Amino acid sequence: MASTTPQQISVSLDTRIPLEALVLQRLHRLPKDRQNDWLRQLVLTAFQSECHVIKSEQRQPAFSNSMRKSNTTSYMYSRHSTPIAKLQRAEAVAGPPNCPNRTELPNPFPVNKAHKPFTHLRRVIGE
Amino acid sequence: MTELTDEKTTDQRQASIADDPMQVVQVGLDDGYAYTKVALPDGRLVSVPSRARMGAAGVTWIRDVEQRIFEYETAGTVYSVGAVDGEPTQFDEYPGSALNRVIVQHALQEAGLSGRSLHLVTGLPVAAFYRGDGQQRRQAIQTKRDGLKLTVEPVVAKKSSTRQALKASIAFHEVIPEALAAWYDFVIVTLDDGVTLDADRLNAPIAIVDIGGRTTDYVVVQDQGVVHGSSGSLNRGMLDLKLRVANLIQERFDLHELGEQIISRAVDTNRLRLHGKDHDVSDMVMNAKRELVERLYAETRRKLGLGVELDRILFVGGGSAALSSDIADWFPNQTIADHAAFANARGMLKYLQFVCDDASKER
Repeated sequence: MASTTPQQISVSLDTRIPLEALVLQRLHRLPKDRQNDWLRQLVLTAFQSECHVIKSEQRQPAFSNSMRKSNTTSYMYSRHSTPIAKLQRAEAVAGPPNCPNRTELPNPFPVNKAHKPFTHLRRVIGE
Repeated sequence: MTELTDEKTTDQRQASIADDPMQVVQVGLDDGYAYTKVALPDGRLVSVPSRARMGAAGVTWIRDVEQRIFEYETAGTVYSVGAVDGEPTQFDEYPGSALNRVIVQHALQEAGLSGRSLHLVTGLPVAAFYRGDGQQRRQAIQTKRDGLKLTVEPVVAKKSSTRQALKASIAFHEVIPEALAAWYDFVIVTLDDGVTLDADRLNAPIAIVDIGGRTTDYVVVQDQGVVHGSSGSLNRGMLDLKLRVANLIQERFDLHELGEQIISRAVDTNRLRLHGKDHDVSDMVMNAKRELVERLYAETRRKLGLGVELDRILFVGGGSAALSSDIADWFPNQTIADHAAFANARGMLKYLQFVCDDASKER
């Protein structure tokens, strides 16, 4: 994989599998010109997450796998308002990322059942 | 052409919230002038017509399962809700009225929330929520907030020993602008394992057009703020269509009065049954629809222009679903929301679950 030219991969997603159907649904909601970039980020994020899992299993078995830094444009929280991960907007990705070191992981959010993740959106309504 | 059917949108009508009955339930409730829609955290969406009248039903139901009219008492007055010829809901005070209160209680009962304590978010039309300068109408908001917290007791017939109907109590109630609720639904995306904010949607300039029963609401959101110059409400909606059809029917058939349910059925089916005989009224429905669509189109152009600076124009509300073919080509960048009638209720639920603070103050 030393080539500097872009490589294309082809993946078939099965709409009978809920998570794959969700990926397709999300993809189709995006404007066409952003779809490839979003897919690229999705693949890289997943790969990075896999690297984290491998590293934590090797070095920090007790470290919570649920608190991970990733490159995406979203913020993700659990259904029950317990934060899973704070995810940050990706910068341009020049090539396949290396597995990040343990020290690059962010501090996990404090677990607070009463915390609601998007309270800042109340401002939209105004005073 | 059906804005919403009188039936639930799911077949899990009596499915209970599989929680501890003592646990508070979060509810998004869009108590519109034509239909009252409920969104629940387990994904169920429930809709009932906003149809009630003062007074007892005057019907004895031999079998509980056949019961289609339900009675509720609030402030010493009994109301009948369900399959009745409802009193008009198109008046300014409706959101804080007893009529609204009993219809909301009925919707909560139909959603299987009998006896539960609730945290609730509802809405007001944009023009009822904001003044022209963007300031909130605090008095109207407070009136609505307080109104729904007044007690409504289900009246259970003495003969009916099997039916358990306990009031659903509202412990917390927040009010937000109706079309803006649909924006929250749009930007907060729930997945199987969590919830995300869609950053692309969050930052894009977008207009929400909410075609409802009495009003059509407009909200433009840009940089996470409401653009008040392009937002507001038009006092036109699907109930105007029904009123117009009622007038045309009265004129053609020389009738003095017709029940609200029969008109509703005529609009939905294009057929009117009089003296045991069906009459085709599709031309009247079509004419009334054309008049409404023209009025909505003119106002939409006035508010949004050609929409060139907007990334998207999102149509929501029961009217958007019912008029989908008539509004299909208004803008190149338009979309009709999935289950458009429930977009506000879903957004209200998401606002309650992920945005507003209901933990520290139950008001």
